[in-house]
Amino acid sequence: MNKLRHYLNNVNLSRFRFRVQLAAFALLIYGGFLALNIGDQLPSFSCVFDQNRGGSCYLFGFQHQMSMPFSRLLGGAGIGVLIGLATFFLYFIVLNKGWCGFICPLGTVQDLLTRLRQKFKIRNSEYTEPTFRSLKLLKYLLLFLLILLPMAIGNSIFGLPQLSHDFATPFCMICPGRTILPLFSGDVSQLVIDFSSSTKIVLSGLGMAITGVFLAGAFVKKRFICLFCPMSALHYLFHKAGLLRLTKNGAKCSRCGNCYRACDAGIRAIADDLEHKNIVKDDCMMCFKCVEVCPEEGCLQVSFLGLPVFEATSEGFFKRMEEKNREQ
Amino acid sequence: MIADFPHKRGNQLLLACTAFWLLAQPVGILQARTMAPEPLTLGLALAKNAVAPVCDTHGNPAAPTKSGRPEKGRIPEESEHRPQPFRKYFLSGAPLGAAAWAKVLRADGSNSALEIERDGAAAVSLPTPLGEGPCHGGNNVYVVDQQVTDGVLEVRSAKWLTLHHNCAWGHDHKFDQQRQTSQHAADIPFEIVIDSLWDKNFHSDVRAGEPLTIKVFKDGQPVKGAKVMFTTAEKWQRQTTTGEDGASSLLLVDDYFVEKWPDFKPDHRGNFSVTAELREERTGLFQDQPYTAVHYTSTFSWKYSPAKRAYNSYAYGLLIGALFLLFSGAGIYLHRERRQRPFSRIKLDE
Repeated sequence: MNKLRHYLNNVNLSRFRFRVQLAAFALLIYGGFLALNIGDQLPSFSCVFDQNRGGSCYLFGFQHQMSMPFSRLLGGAGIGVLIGLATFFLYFIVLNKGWCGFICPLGTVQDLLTRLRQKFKIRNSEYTEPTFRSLKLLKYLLLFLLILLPMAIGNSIFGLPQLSHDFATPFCMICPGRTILPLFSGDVSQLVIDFSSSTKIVLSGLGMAITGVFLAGAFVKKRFICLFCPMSALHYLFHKAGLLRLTKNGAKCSRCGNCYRACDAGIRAIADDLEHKNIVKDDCMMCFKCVEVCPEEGCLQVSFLGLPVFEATSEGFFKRMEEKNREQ
Repeated sequence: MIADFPHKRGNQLLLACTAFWLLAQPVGILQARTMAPEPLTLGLALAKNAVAPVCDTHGNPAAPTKSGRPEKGRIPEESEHRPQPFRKYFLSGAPLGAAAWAKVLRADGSNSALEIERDGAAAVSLPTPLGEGPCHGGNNVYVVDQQVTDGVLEVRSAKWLTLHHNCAWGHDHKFDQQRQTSQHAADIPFEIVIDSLWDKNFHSDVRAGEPLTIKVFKDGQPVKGAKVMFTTAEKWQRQTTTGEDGASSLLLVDDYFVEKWPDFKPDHRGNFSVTAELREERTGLFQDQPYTAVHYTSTFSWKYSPAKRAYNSYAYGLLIGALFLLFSGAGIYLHRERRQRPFSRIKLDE
């Protein structure tokens, strides 16, 4: 058992994660070709607009369900909504926010763009702390809107007129996952402006504009879009129930700042917070790069169902650093 | 004068023929002797206040019997998003012969005989239990009539395809080849099959401006030389003939135009009907009545949406995407340049 733990603590987790990401990408983008479908309530961007997907993002169905009149939502149809939410929850708790770091195909695309940038030796961009704090709130606003706008289709909210059905999936219309992910199976049909109504013109135009910004942003900033991702905000509501956990022992932290520098999301609290044991923040994607670069024995730890699976050790740290130096 | 004479005589002859034809119409002299029975057509009508009966083949449906959501102020139409637990289709082109029969070929490939209601308007009805089950997908409803008229065996078949689906039932069948393709039945004497009527999620996916492949089957086998008449609701028509593989293809005409662009509805559904016809010179007996030829007719109706290219623009989409990519890239570059401090040598004061 100790040998296994020793092996796991010394492992190059980034390399393992990248392989898992590629496998998950293949499964979720091309799974349909092999008649595979792992579910329609996935806590990850597996776009329903990709006809050959191997699973679907929960947000699409969730937005559709929210467009029901309150009378139906609070009646029998509400049971369907609860079942959907419960299924999402069951998927989610297995990997917690690891769905972002290990599974999300849009995250993988961003990581590939980062690798491309590194090949060109272009430096990374980072937000200042105040900018980071302001921008991260956008995902909660998007989550609120993706619930509220569909709700205003089937109901008159605050006595306002009901919205057009064109708002049925407002977030999907502006999500870069809709435009980018189907491209990988040769479907370019989402790269259009839909002129069928003024709402569609605005939403599809916004979608294409965000796609342009996404490509530029993800090239210079690691995990650029994750900071604004409403799925990440939804994850955070349930993260305390996750079976996969990232914990910190503040007493062992020397505040070297390695974890903050390695963090793709740019979460400063991972280095600064010495009080909380559960260190998972709303922008964390559980890539565990922080654990990899932590030189303090047992300071950061990844556990599943309470069992430690990967923890910071000085031996593992130096081994990984040597490997990295050799690669460079 | 000489030149006018035959012209005038021709006019008189034409007038006499027209008068005879007009007189003959009400009496039925011409109709009774030369006109074949009209092709049978199945039309849509949803039974009001229908209660789902027990399915005779698959037992008591476990699925709920509540009907789909009819929209306010709108007659409920058949739609894959508004599945009904019970369907009723009316026949036109009657009268039916005594030998007429009906059946349904369900989405899962199972068959059931249907009873033809002959009181009043001829109709067939069938239960389509809601929820995941044997009816989830495309169900083919057939009415077949055979009768001898003036020594010709008239074989008429009408087909209606019921797309029975709700997204809440899941899309697991998108990998099921049986449910994803249009079916044909070996016991149907003459039948039309159109490929690619729906997408993998059971949503009707026929669009104007796209090619339509129509296949004609006789006794379950593709038949060559059948005349295919394609007609849209706006009366655009096209006639083709099937080739060796029983198939003929045509481009679906775009006949949806609006006066003002805001009136344009991308979910507009136009209807088209396809009639196939074949005549074979062969003798035989049908119910002790001799015939010298067999005349097959079959009808099939479906719906189509406007072409996506009528309201989608790749050019604008890519232009907006490219502009934002360019401006974002330029913005990032300029921002970085602006923040770069010029190198200055530190000089130590000796």
